[in-house]
Amino acid sequence: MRNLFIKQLSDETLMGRVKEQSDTPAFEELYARYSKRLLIYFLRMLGGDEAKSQDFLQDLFLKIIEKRYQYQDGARFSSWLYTIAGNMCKNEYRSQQVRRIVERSENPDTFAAETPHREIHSELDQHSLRNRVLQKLEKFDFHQRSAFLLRYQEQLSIREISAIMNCAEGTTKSRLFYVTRKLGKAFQSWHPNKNEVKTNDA
Amino acid sequence: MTPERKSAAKRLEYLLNKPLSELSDAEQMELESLLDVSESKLWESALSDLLKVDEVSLQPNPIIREKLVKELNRKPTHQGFQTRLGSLFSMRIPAYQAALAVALMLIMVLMGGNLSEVADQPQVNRSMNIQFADTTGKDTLNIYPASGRTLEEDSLLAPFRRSVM
Repeated sequence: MRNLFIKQLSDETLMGRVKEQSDTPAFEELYARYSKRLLIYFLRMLGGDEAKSQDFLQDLFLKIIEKRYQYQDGARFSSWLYTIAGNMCKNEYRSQQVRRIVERSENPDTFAAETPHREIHSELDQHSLRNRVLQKLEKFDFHQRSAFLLRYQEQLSIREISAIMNCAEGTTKSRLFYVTRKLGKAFQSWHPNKNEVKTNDA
Repeated sequence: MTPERKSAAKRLEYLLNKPLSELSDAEQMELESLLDVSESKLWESALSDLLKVDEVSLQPNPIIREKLVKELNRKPTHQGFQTRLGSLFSMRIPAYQAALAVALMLIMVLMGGNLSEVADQPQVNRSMNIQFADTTGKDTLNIYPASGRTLEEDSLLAPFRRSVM
């Protein structure tokens, strides 16, 4: 009965309970709602390093516990959560910047069009395409990748993404436009409107 | 690239750089139509489908949840002194502003000491005035020289009158 009641509460109400009463069921509900999403966000932001993503997930929620008194009542919980997660990734990027520059051999501007042998029919094809898109995504910089994942994985609005990334809405739109265009070009054979991409590039 | 497409690309760039809140309704519709041409909604929805979290089998390590719950219960339920102090210092105050504030406080403390000395001085003078003014030896305990017992005593010539007498 209590669990059912907790499940009906909004993120913000749950966080309020965690803040005021250190309410364990409320915290567990928030964790259940966001843990997998954030794990995959970290996985995709950190180049597929599963162990590091699990560590980041734990660190993120530890920060939530430690900083719970700093949470402003009524503020959107998901924005707060993704801001902290984004900052963690940014720090990681900074510490690994030198290594990444050396490793980054391919630039998004030089993406060659991928040529599939067949159309997507099975789950296996879908899985393969996902992996290839994610591989390409690694070639973009932190801001572009983060904006892309927040938009297409987390389905956040441009306004929310701009608030999380502390930038103008126009900047977010440009970043999204740049990534989707580059990916569209690279995967034009899979593009739902194949002819359209070709005409755009012409 | 045809001239029409070139102008559309320029227009798109202009609209993209403009904050969303500043776009008029007509401009918003125009932006959407331009994005529809260059980046089809179909491609965007295909990307969203591709990145669906549910499709990934990876799950958070169950140990993490246990650790976090322990951590939550270990922490005090009320905001302690340390947390308050910590949150105060987490504010981003530039060092020079903090130094300026400390310097101002020091100046105020030092000036405060001088001011109190200055404030004490008139009292001493007043008492001295009383001693000089009481030439008759008949003065009462009225220690405030600004107001006498009568209008005559309040007069500026009062000391001279007494000396003449």
